Amino acid sequence: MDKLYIICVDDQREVLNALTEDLEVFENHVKIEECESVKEAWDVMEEVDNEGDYVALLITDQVMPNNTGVDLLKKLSADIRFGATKTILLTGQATHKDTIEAINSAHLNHYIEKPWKKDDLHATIKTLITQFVLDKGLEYQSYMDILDQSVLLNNLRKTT
Amino acid sequence: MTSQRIKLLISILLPVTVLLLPISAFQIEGLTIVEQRVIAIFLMAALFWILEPIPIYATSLLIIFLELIMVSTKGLKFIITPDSPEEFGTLISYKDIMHTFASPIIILFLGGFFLAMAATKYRLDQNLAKVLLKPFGENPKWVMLGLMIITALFSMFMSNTATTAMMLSILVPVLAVFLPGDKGKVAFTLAVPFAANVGGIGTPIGTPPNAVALKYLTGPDYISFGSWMAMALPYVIVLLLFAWGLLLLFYPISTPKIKLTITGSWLKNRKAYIVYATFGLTILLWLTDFIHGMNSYTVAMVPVAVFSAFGIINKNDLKNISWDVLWLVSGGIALGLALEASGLAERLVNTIPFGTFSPLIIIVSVTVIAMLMANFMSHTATSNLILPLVAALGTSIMSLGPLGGNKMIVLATTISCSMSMALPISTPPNALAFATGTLETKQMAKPGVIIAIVGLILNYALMYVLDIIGFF
Amino acid sequence: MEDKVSFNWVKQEFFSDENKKLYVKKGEVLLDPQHKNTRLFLVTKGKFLGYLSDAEIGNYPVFEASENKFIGVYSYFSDDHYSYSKVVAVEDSEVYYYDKVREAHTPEEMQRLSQFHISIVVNELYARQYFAKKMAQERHNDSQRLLKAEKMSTLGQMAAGVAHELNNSIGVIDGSMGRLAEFINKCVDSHGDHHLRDVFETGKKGQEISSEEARTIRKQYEKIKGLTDGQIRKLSKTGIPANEVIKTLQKDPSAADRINEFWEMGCTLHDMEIAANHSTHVVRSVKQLGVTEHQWSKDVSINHTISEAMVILKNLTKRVKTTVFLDEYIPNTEACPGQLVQVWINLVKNGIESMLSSQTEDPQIRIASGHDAKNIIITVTDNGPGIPEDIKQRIFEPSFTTKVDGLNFGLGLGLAVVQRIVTEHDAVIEVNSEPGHTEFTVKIPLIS
Repeated sequence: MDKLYIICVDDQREVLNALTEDLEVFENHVKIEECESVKEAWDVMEEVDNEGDYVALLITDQVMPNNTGVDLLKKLSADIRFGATKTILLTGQATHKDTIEAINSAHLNHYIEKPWKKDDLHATIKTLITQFVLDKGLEYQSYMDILDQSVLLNNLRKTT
Repeated sequence: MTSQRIKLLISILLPVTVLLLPISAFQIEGLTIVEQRVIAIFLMAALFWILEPIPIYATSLLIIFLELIMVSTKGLKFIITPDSPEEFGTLISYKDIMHTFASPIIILFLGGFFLAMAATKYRLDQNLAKVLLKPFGENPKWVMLGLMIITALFSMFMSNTATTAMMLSILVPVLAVFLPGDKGKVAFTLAVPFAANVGGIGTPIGTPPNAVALKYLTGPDYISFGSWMAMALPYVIVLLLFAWGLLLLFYPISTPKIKLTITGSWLKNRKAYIVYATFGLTILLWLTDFIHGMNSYTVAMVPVAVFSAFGIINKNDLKNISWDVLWLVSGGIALGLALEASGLAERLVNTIPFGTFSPLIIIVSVTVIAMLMANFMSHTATSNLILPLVAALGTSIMSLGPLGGNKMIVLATTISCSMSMALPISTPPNALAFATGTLETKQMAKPGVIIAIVGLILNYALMYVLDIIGFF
Repeated sequence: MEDKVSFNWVKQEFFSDENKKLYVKKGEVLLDPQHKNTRLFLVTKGKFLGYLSDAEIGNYPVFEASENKFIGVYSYFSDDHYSYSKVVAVEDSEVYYYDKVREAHTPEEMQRLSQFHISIVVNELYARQYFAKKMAQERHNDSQRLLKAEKMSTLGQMAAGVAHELNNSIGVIDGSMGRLAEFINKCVDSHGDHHLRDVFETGKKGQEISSEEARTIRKQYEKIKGLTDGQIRKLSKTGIPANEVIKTLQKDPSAADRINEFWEMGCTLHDMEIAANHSTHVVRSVKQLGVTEHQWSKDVSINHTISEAMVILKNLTKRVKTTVFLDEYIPNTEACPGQLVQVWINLVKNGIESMLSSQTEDPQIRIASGHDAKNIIITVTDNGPGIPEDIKQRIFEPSFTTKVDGLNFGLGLGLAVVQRIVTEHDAVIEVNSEPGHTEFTVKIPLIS
């Protein structure tokens, strides 16, 4: 089974704790990495890629010291290694402009406002991970428990 | 991680040991080195397919690769040059091994894939389902029967997985409107994969095990598309009705009304009409080979040629073809080829005194073994492994003759492979249904086991009837 | 002729007769709309203001006349000789006047007179134009000021309203959390396992290691067999080195769950406390924008207010090297402790954020207290990039911020709040800044 990673980036420790706690349900199938800064997140993602594993999903805050979440998203979308990586901007502080930029020039997949609802977050992550697994052509059976049904079924219909 | 490594290690070490043993260790009269190698390859295939340390289609490719190197006429020079030709045995033509990639059976399946793909692309499947479902009204019982009939019908021409995916995506939104605590949800969710599994039996292209079986139904045992359907369809219908009744009995539906909504309308453009026409024509040609003389393999090229020519299936669509399924079957065919061509199959049958066993015991044991194996591993891999052995038995055991011979036992075993639907891991359709989260393993296993047992008994009854009417 | 029409010529010719000189005392009326006036006045000393009276808004000024300015131009030229405004001396003044009664007879005299008149009219036109412009400008400025003040006060009122609402719910959360924490503490205390109790206590300090350090520890845990990915991730967050618990875990991998649960319980309490504190702080800051009622006390320990601020900022100060130096011998003074806490918070937060956002190497912040005979002196020093000269003047303005995204109002309004509070304490705040060294000094006078 290929190793998938969810990278969480937030400069606030408590938020990171709360976030990863909510992601626990995915942990049997996906590895979760916590990062406190954009730079750290990038290092971790490069390491994951070097190991031959996949960064399936990046969940990032917007307002952080040094680099913003949108900076990270832009860098990610420009990097061919992470072409299939799905992204969530999880923030309460992104301005209209930030968000537009994230969508237009960083191909943001999803925007979630803080404080997030656990169920919404789960549903979104399921959908995005399913899309990632299908995009990458990974063995979907191994991740069945955490995949979104309708996305999976719609995709399987197209196979022969 | 580590368990995966252990599996890989076992799957490699055991065959290598077999390969290194002295010939005398096998206690088989006249066993040649080539045959010993085929045993090793067969053992490796079995272990790889059962333990699955690598994807099952990769195992198929590995089989073909190893056969080419170790036992083909163009293999590695140092290991195929015999010291004494007598003890070495006969090498297999490398062309024959490679031909398995484009064997007529593979082409037949490719034709089926083209049909299925075009049908999905031009929404023939969805629109057909909409029309066919209409007469069944809104009474949940009848809706469920309709759902099962349509699923079975589609899975005769489309892959069981794609059919299940389609029908579940229609069904899942409706599950939400069931009354809370209504067991009918379970019934509906199980109806789809069960019907898809059963429906696959209906045509030679319904499911890959059927394709594998075709490899062993040649010469006097040849079976046409039409006669396969004539044989299998009644069986499918009876089993489907039984499954329907069983599900209703176990999981009665208390929701008074169910409405499956299927969106979309018939496409009315040139390409869509070509799809409709070609679909109908291909099936018609398959069923009427006695008139025009083209066998099902030749007819399979009709959709391939037409859809490609009109750009209905384009380059991008070609990527979506399940080449892994085709290659999985190729590997099975190559394995059977090696067993036959090396003479190993015959030798094994001659060595083990099967002739003394009752033919009924042989039939029952192979079908039961096939069914049990298929519950835990891929149906195709099961048939890949078991059918060459069964075919060897069928052709050499005289006592089977009166009961239908090779043709009978191959068909009985093939049908048994499709009978496995007790566990979520038994088939991809089961896994998809299970993933909807509306049922527990136990709820799937109970009717699954009963359907399998009844299916086996019906299987024997079918063979008996077919024998009496002189089908074989 | 042009020369002749100069102001000096007019003054010389028509306004130099000592007999036609008047002394007007401050407050005396020179012209009144009720009386006829046929004179033109030239102010040679002092200042007059012309008022129009209006039923609604009372008297309001329409012109002013100081030295070398004419008064009575309108009434002198008008048919009825009534002035439209009331002209009052605003200081002791003297004027010369020219009376219309004197008539011209010869053509020369006529020309002289008309030259005089033109000169007066031009002068008057100019003066009126100027005055009107000036008045318009002032009115514009006034309304701008008013608008701004209104905006601020509305924002303040709104903020105070929101803060009040939030304050209640945060109070409930904070209180309930405290009770919950007590209850959990009790439960854990009665738990038999010493080790797990320690783990809980460690958790209560929050996650002390960075995520990078956690990854290093994770590698140690990954060597232990039988742990799931999730267990490993959580164990490494606790910061407990793997060798401390390896024996327990090897004996029973499920012990990892218990360790994680206890640590998480502690850590959750900690995180909730941080979050509650932070909310309280934000609410308090917001409240102070609009409201000016505060609890003053005669016996305030400044050091205590600093410590309190540092507790609230604990989460932020973790990220830089922080030194707190407190002079123990500072006498207590009269102050509003809650407000002073705000001042320290804002100054420290400001420093840290500027360092973090400018990626200062080895960022350090120091807050120190001390005193001399007259003042208590608190300094907040950082080694950040410093405040650029051009904005140094503006940092205490309400809406000023150096932040790119306008949403972090903590700083923007922060320094304005600081300024206001400092002033209320009769204290002064000074800023001394150069790259690598920025120091805010607050001097609070000692009440003798």
